[in-house]
Amino acid sequence: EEPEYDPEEPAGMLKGLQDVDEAVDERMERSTLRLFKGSKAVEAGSDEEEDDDDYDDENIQQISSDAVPFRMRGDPAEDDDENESDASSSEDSDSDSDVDDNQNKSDDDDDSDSNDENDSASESGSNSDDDDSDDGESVGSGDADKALHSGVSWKSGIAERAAQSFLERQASVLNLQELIYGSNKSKLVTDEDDDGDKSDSDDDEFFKLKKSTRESTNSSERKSNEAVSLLGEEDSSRLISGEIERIDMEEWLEEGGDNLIESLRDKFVTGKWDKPAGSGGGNDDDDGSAFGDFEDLETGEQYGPNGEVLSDNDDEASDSDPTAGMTDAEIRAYNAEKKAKQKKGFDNEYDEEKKTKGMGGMKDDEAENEYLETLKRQKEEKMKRNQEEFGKEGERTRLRHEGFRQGLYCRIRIDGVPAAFLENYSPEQPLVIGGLTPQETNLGFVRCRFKKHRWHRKILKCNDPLVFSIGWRRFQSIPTFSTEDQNGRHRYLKYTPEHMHCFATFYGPQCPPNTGILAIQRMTGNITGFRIAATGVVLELNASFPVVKKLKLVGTPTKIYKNTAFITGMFNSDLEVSRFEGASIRTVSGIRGQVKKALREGQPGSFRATFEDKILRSDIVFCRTWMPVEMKEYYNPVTNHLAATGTDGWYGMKNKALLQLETNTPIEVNPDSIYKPIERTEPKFRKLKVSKKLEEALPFASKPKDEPKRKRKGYLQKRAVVMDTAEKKKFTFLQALNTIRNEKVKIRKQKKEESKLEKAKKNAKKEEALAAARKANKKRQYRAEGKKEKMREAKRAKVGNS
Amino acid sequence: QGFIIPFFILRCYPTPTTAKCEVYKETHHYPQYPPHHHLTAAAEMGKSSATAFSKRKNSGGGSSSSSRTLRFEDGATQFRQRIVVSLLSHRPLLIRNIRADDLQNPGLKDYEASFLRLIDQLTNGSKIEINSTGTQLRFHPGTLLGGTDLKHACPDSRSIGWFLEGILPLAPFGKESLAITFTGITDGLCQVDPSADYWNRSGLPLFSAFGIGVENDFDEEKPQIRVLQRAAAPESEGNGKVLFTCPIVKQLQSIDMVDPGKIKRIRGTAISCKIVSSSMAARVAYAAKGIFHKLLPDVWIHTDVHTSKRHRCGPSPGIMMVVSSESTTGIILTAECCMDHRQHQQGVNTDSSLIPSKTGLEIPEDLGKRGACMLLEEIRRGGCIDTSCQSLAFLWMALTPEDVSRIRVGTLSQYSIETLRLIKHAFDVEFKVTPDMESKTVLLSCLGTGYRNMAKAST
Repeated sequence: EEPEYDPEEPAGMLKGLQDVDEAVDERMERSTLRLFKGSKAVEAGSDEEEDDDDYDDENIQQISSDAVPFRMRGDPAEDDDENESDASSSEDSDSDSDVDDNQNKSDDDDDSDSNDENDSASESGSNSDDDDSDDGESVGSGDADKALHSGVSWKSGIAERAAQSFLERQASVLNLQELIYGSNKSKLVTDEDDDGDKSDSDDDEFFKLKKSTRESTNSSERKSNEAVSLLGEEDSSRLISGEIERIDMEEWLEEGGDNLIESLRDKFVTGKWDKPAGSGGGNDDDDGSAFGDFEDLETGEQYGPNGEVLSDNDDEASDSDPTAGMTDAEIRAYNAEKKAKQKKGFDNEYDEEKKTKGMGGMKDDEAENEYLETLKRQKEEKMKRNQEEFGKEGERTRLRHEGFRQGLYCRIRIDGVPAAFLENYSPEQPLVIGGLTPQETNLGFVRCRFKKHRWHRKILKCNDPLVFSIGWRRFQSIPTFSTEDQNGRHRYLKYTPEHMHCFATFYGPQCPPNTGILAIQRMTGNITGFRIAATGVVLELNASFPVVKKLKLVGTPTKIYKNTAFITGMFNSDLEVSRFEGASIRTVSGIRGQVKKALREGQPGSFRATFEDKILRSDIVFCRTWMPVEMKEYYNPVTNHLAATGTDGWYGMKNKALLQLETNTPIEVNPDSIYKPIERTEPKFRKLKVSKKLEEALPFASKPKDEPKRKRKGYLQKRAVVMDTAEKKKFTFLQALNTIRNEKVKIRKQKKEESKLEKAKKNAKKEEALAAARKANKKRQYRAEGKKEKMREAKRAKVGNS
Repeated sequence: QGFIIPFFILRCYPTPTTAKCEVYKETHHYPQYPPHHHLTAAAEMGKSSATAFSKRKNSGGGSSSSSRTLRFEDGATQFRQRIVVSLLSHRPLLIRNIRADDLQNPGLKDYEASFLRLIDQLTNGSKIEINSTGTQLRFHPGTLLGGTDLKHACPDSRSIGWFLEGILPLAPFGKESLAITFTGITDGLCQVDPSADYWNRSGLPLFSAFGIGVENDFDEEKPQIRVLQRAAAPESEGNGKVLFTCPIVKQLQSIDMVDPGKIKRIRGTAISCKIVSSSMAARVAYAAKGIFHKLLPDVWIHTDVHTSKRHRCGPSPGIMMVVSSESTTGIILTAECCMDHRQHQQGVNTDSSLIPSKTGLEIPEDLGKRGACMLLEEIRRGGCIDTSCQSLAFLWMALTPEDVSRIRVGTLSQYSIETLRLIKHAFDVEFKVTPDMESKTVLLSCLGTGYRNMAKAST
């Protein structure tokens, strides 16, 4: 019998897997035999057989190269040693008491074996397990087994056997999963697979670490070189082994009533509607009933017309049509489904009603209860969905797809625990084990909204280490504070604002946005006051964040043309200038300009600039720039469980101030930072000269009025004033009065000054006495407070010791 | 507040600024540490503890999670997907033996290098290390940025569709929404890679199925793939432009695509580029319609004729057709075909011929029929998704919230099987693969990892 598709192509082979339309009865027999073997190795546990198995694979390679990678992938013998050790150790961790006592025995033996042997031995263990469980089946395939057992004659009829095994593999439905992921040797095991009461009866078993059969598939090197040959290095989703998939046109263009196109008619709206929608075009009725039963046994489920899972079907007959001719069981299932739908609909309606109604009248706790109820129901629904989807084929497969769900007991092995942890472990402190998503294990920069705690006494300094507590983790890191400007620029802050939020950026594990943050300055020692330094919330994660500091570059003009000036002293080289070409600059007086081009001659770094107006020689030109602030990549997890004294035994980085105090280092004083009196030379301006031409053109109001001295006196100046006697008398009288007043003012001023001096002398004596008293008072006060503090400290130390 | 300013400090080192005193205020509260615990020692201690951790990680090496690097020894197979998966799973990537056996042209190809450049553009903090022969790639994933007004020039050896296919899975997980313009070849390489038109027809419905851009109100914020300018293989000369925009999501939605429905309409476009005779496209469309009309009356195949004068299409002539069927349940299956030219052999790959040479060019009618048959083949296979979209759907299914996602697939392609393996390797998500004998389809279901877009900033 010819398969419909070319088995040479992998796609064709897969198709062949799905539509098995020949030798139904025969296949049925075989498949039922395969039923329990499907997921496991076939042969009984002896090394010879394993060899045979491998050999079979090679034969298949001859027949169909496509089949090989699938099989080989599932084949442990093909894996590297290194790979094996990896996988075996990994399996150790998550395996359970899967296998029977028999299995356990063989496993125990394995412990003593080397890694290489461990593999085969454990495999044989699992094989033997299989045999125990389904003896009946192995009898069924006895013919083939006999042929395999008779070591001498194994060479005869290799091709036939290979072909047969290939067909058998095709027959087995579950193989599709196996083809993709490799055979599922027992990886995860629970009580259900075990004898149910075993784990209950002996608790000791639970705490013993068990060696497991290793799973052959789960490793990176599984994708060995075969995959290359198949997909090719072109990385194309349409090429298969570097070949274009060709479509057989003749098949499609064939005329006649029973052609390929006609077979598709039911997939269109123009076709029959009562057929199941998901059905294929071709020979449906051939395998529909024939495989219904088969599938029932394998998967325990069947798919309805719309792909929804119908419940188990115990009857022999499985009519795929849901609307007519249903058996009792089906009707029951159908009704149950209907009911469930109705209930769900009601639930949703109920929730909606609560949501819309409840906002107004309901009390807080009532609303909360409702919310919790809804959450609970949603969770239950989800569990049910999962159960429906993955729960049908037993616990083992469920765990494979779902992982460990809530409420399962599991044993966890943690590798690489430092010795210090065990030495210093105190059972008084419970350990809580939590999980992190792979994203959260990465280190990077975290930006958060940050606020100094209102009870914390001091503002926090940028670049001082802080201990952060985020989610599961505590670690020390160095934050950089910043604030966001109107244009979205993050400007560096030296200190946190007193009462406002700011941004903090630090290097640490990436945690999802909206996670709360708590920061303290130090874990150890007795700290007076409020310990929590700041709180915050994670906003954003990135590999780097731009935080900038303002930097003003200053230059002076050397030569000034109309609107152009040559500026020096701002840059050091032509290269720097070229980097800043087009940058906007400004004089102190507010004239704006632009950097044009570096000058060839003169001081290096001088450049030509243009301004909106002529600038003065005395103007200082500056360029406002923003410097990126380098952030420290410091991350130090708080490993208090590794220290004998717990949190006190962990030392983090100290801030500079503390170090200076401890080491008695004087504070560095940068002489440049000290303020000095500013000495300014008064600028000498030249006299303003207005050219005659301009002066003439000016309007009268703007014309300079100060006429130059005349050489000859004018008419008025020339005339002498002669007073008559009466006038003269008046004039002299007024003069006398003025003289008297001037004298009086002079005397008053003198007296005032004298009295001022006297007063100052008196006050100085008083002030001296007061200052002395104040100083003494303060000293007394501080001493008392210091004593009190000491007492408190001693008390605290006492409490701590006791 | 009752702080005591230690006098001795003030006395010994008078400080001009109050800020420095501020720091000293608290210091006397602390017990004196032994002097060896100074700053550098503390820093070193931190470092040493960190290295100790990393060492432990390596030596522990048993479980797959502890050695986080994704290692591949088999060269450039699945090149894009591996990088994408590395970015999504935040696990470093090591690919070895990239065309190591090829003595003439070992190492990465130009299109792969271009893809790396594209990834570099889309991410921040990614480290890409390639050894001197180009046969080894070490990739350390950074943060996905996205961004608008991005541009990427694709080499002529691969169509824009290849690059699109690579970054489609990443697009919704950036820091901000993505708008990127590709320049390069748009048509004529669809035997090798799905074209931009294909992704527009078949890929975008997947976006909405996974809830990407669903709640956005404006059309501009919805995901779109638009061919702005066409250029057929083998030469684009910088013509050919495709705009891809995609909004970001916080989480995907899980899907339940199991009902293929009945096909109610077929739509398509026959495109010709730089071909003087405009009847060529019409002939393609006519031939295809002839086949579809046997099954369905509702068939529209438009013609789209691009000339170098009017549309500034690329210098090479080409003709292609994209057809898609839409079912009553909204399932869209797409097929495409294009005229292959023998020149493509040089265009795509000089040493290993991607496109085997044919004796002659096929006539437009044959092309139309071939396209129609390809779509019918997709329909015959059944399922709710066509072959080239499978791997994208699978990858996103693995990233959905922790809920069951189900999809019905006609035939698993080799590429998507490798994708499933890669997903298992990187995310440890194993799909349940159940063949449905009755309809000859495969049902795949998985429990999502609950992936969250951590790059997205909270406001």
